[in-house]
Amino acid sequence: MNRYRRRSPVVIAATMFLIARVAAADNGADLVDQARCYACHHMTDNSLGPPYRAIALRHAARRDVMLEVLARKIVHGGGGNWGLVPMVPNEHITLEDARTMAAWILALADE
Amino acid sequence: MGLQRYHRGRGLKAPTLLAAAFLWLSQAAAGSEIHGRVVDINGRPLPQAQVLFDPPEPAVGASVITVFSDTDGGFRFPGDHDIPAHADLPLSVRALGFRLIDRIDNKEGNSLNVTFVLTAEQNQAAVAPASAWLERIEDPRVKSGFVMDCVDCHQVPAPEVRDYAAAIADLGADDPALARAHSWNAIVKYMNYLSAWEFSRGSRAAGEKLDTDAVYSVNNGEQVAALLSEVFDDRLDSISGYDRGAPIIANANTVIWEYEIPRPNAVREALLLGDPPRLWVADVSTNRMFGIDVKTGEQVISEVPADVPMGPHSLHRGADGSLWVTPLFNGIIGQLDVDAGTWQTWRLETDDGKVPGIHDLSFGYRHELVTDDDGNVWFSDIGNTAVGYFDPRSGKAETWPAPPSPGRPGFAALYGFIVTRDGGEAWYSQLANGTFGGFDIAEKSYIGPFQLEDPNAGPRRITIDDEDVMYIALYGSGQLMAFDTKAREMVGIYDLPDTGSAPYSATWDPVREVVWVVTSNGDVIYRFDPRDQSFGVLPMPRQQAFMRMLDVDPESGVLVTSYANIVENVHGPRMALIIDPGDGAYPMKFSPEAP
Repeated sequence: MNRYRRRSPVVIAATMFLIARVAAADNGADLVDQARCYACHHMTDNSLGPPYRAIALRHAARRDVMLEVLARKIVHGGGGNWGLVPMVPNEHITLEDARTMAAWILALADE
Repeated sequence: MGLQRYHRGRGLKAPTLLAAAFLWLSQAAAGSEIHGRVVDINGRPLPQAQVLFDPPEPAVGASVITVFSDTDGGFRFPGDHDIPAHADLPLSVRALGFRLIDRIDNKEGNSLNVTFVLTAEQNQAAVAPASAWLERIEDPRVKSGFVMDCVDCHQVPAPEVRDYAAAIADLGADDPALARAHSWNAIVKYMNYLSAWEFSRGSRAAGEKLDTDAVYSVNNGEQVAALLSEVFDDRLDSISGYDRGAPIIANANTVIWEYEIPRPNAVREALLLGDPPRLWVADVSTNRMFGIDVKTGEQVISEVPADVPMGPHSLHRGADGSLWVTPLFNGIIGQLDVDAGTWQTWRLETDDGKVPGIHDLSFGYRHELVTDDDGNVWFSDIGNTAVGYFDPRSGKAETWPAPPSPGRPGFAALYGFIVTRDGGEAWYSQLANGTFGGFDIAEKSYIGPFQLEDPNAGPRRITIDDEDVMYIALYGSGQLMAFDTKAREMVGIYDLPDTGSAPYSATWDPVREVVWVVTSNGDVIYRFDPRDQSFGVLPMPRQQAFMRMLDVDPESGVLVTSYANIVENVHGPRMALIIDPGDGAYPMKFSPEAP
């Protein structure tokens, strides 16, 4: 019996996706820190804004759509979802970086 | 050290830039003049309107050039400019209480004659400075406290603050007052966090988190939030009736050259030095100095050699034309030979182990660095509330703690600093407690302290004239103070034409014999004439002109300053600028335009 099994393209793609996701998560965590998001958001506790984990859990079912929504929310700010305080815009953050940050937040639902 | 060279850019993508440049150059006719008129809807001339020319990339020299219309509405840009055959030249016009309704271009040979037609507009929100909105605060003591609390790092209300007021309104909350209270309270905490982040940058370990509960609760945040809720209770998108409060001193010869600094940066101060003349601009977010050739626009970066964050902050012109830099962090002073590009640095520590938090070095009446008879450089020590000196030959430093201000405990923020003409005394301001005082350099003893009535008067940067009258910009109360250091008596405290303008610095102009007062919240520079105690106004060409120090070039008399918006979320301009007031007061004419 041939024990050697060629790794299928699907497995390779999945592995690469995982690596990319882990990298994005690490990078996203750094970006969140550098952008001083902790001024308003904590991991699990309420602060000026909702905790990251709560955001992730609320949007877990619609992660694909919410990645783009959250990225734009990071850049443009706005309010109405979590209470009476509008989020400040962060227009100095690129949409690309905002997507990485949003991916990191949404991935917290898995932890 | 190495100089890193590159050309300026303003965020356009390279292919777009190249294509635009090719199109522009292929259609341009060289050696052309731009002039025209500004009139109202009835054809009547509008004097003292600003006309801005924003040359497309890649251009040489300034990013934006501004001139003013004369009594007949006429304006003319200095020098020759490339004028495209088939495109509108990027010109704009601004005047308080007016808006543009038509523009008529007439090509006259290689030159361009443009007529701008403006109509009166009641809503001044597009042109009025942030300070205009502070007229809503009637009590001067409440206003000075608010300015001291909120205008330290950015204008209030900057357009972003106004946008946030609109965002609160857009919530459509059942209880709008409650929404305002919650939201402004959150903003105050958020800003406290940003401030703590910035000022701990020099000592915070990588990845170290701030304690939010601690930073949220500093000072009187709830009181500030309550005032914001009360005063900024609408969308902040309409304002009328604002008046500059004094005559505009600009004329047809007044020119403002603005030079954009590549982002990211946190621009602080700027000086014009060297041959070829460069604008040297401090970036407090790094250890960098930008050097911009004012004729070509070419930029160099010169790194202050330090292995820790130092954050170049206050700049001083040396008597030999060198550039002296004081730090935000770690007690490092730098001196740059601007022509050779070489640095000498000192990391100061006193014998008793204190690291001075140097704010200013000893300015003399020519607004350049002066030393005492022993060659020592004196400084204000904001970190230890002290006055001190260091010896550039040995690096030895010594400081003397300032006396407390009676009845005003807490952090004093010993800030501005000057030395009298004979070099015998240093005088300082204390930003945080409305106090100032002197120091006898020979006796090593303090004079005073002297208290201003309002603890939130906010005495900031100081200047001194050639008869030892000291002028201090009072940031909080929006005033200019004149004090005779010889007689030890107050000459006068003068309300600025706009007391919400947050005057950051005062600079004596030894040729014009006036004091230039630079504002952080008013988008203007004031000219104070001590002979008749009158003010004139020089409006800047844009909002969010958050200015800091001003230097008068000793040869040409042009004014050199910067827009120092240091908060990332407030996207104001980050520029260094040169202003020819157009009064012909100095024999040498400054002209960065190509011959």
